[in-house]
Amino acid sequence: MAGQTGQADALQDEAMYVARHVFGVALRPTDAVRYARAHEALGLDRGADASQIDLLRRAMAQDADLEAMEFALRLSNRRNVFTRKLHVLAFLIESDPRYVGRFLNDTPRRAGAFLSLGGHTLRAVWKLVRGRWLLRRLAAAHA
Amino acid sequence: MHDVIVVGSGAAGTWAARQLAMDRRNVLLLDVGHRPAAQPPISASFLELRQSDRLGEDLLGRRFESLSNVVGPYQSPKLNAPRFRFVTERSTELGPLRSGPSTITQSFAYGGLANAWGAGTYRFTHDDFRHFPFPASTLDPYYDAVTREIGISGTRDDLTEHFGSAEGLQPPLRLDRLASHALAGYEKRKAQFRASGFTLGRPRLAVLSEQLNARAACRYDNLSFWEPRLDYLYIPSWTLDPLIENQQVEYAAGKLVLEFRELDDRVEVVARDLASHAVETFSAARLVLAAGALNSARLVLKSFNDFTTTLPLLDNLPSMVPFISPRFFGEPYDRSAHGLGQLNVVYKEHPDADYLQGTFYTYTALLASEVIMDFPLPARGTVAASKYTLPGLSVVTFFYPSEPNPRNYIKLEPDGTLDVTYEVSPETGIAERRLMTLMRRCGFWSHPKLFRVSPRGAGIHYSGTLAMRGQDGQPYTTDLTGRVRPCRNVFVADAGVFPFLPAKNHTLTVMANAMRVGEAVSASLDRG
Repeated sequence: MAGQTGQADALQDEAMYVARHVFGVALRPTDAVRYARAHEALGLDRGADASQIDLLRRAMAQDADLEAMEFALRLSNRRNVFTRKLHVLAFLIESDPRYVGRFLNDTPRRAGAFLSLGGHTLRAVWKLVRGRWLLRRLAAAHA
Repeated sequence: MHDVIVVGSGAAGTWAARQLAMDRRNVLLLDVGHRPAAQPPISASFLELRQSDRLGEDLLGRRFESLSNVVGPYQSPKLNAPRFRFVTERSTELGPLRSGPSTITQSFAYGGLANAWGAGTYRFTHDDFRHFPFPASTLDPYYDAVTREIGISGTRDDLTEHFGSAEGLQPPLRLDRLASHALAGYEKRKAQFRASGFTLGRPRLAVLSEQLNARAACRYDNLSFWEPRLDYLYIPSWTLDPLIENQQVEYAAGKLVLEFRELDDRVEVVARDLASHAVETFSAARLVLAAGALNSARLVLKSFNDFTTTLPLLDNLPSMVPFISPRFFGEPYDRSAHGLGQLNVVYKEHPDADYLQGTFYTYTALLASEVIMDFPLPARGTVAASKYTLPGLSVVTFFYPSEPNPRNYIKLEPDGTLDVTYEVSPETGIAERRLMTLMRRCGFWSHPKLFRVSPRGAGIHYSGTLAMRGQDGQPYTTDLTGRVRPCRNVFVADAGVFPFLPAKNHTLTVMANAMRVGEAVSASLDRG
């Protein structure tokens, strides 16, 4: 029981951290609790590569660029555990009415849309290079 | 003893029972009958839910049902939605099957799989009936009756020759912004589309555009993926509920029918009560099986203790082509959409070829997070990309026709498991690539690498297991009245009787034919 509570607390901390550092949002405490419960309900860590979960924890401990690392992982394996965790978090953030404007456009913004997409495309190139480098570095440090 | 026992409360069971009730027969409907959780229907629109604090509970689910695609094999988001989970509840437990790489979906719900359907309602036309032992005109009066009762919206346009008579239709639903643009593109380049074998037009949907009796017209609240009981969208319950309330049909829920025995003067139906686990026997002069093509066949094979015969299986294979329209990037969310098919696309390579039928959908009724990880961008970029590009995202889903093939069949195992083998499906890709070329000229972009074919069995239009054959005396085929050989008093009313499955939603034909079978059963009772 204490172990389960400890794991739930760790997952809640993980949710708050990843939401802030990857999505740039302040997650509601209730959504952090739901993130932990989702792990149980969906079996999110079941069958997951333990080394990837460990990699995530080390990356968090070192304040590494999680967004870059997940992006690099996702392009080689869409179903990796880090992407699944982020995907669950995306659903929870979308369920927060404070952030509906991040997911839903309510006024015409054609020029802004193309500028945003162009900027994010350039950013993606940088993040991919950085992500691959971080994954190699963290793996080597652990070896 | 009852006049007739009907097994199953889906589209077929409902319409067979209705006909029998209209004929003043004493009808008992046996059903497992899972129901949605007792809760008030969602009354806010999808947009209002997204702007409120209710999205978590109503749309994600207490057990995160809507997130199932994050971890599991892909399933329609509608079937994952929390309020739709009852449709497939306990289905593998109650109907064990083994399907290999195929995806098979069953329902033991009150109202069956039609609770979660896309509401496409199309008459089978002359060519569609070419393998049936009766002509298309036989079903016309039944199609007319169903159309009047359930309310179908649509119009007379270029697709009328494929969809049958437009008599009795309500006006078509409003097109959303993206679909309007697609249709305008087709109208402008119609000669090119038609020369390539494509015809576009408005769908026929069992969705009201005008009030019908107590059911209100569509509110364009975009809830079709989230709320199973929308009065403007037809489900069999709208027909079956009053029959039960008015005691025209006796309804027994929680009964899993196991087998039947045909005796000289009656049919005995053996069922297990799911609450008490007691095995019960019900008797009637006639039995109508309407448990769906798979489970009606399962019952027949079990009742004959036949674990060696294979029965054919048909299904429409679906393919998907996503399109993106940059012209709509940055457009605001379309507030008046209904989430169902906006347009239909029919492809016929040449006049003698079988056609494919596609449905054009826009992305207004689902959460952005459903597709967010498919964008090749880092996490923050995927959120921005979904916000600005989803107003320009559409998908065309094609259905392929299905004919019997010796490598697509079902067989019952002695332990009760239904073995589903579905090895052969049509070659795909030609229609999809040609459509991509044409749609590019209308500002809709795609790429062959984005085209996907669903797993076999994903059409969920299972048919043909107890196919109608006119003069053929083979056991486990049905005659023109739906009577299953070699039985005297056992009939089949569901899509198991279809000898061929054209590339269109078959539910309207299931309902019309079930009425016809009900009428035939009544006539057989008159004859004694």
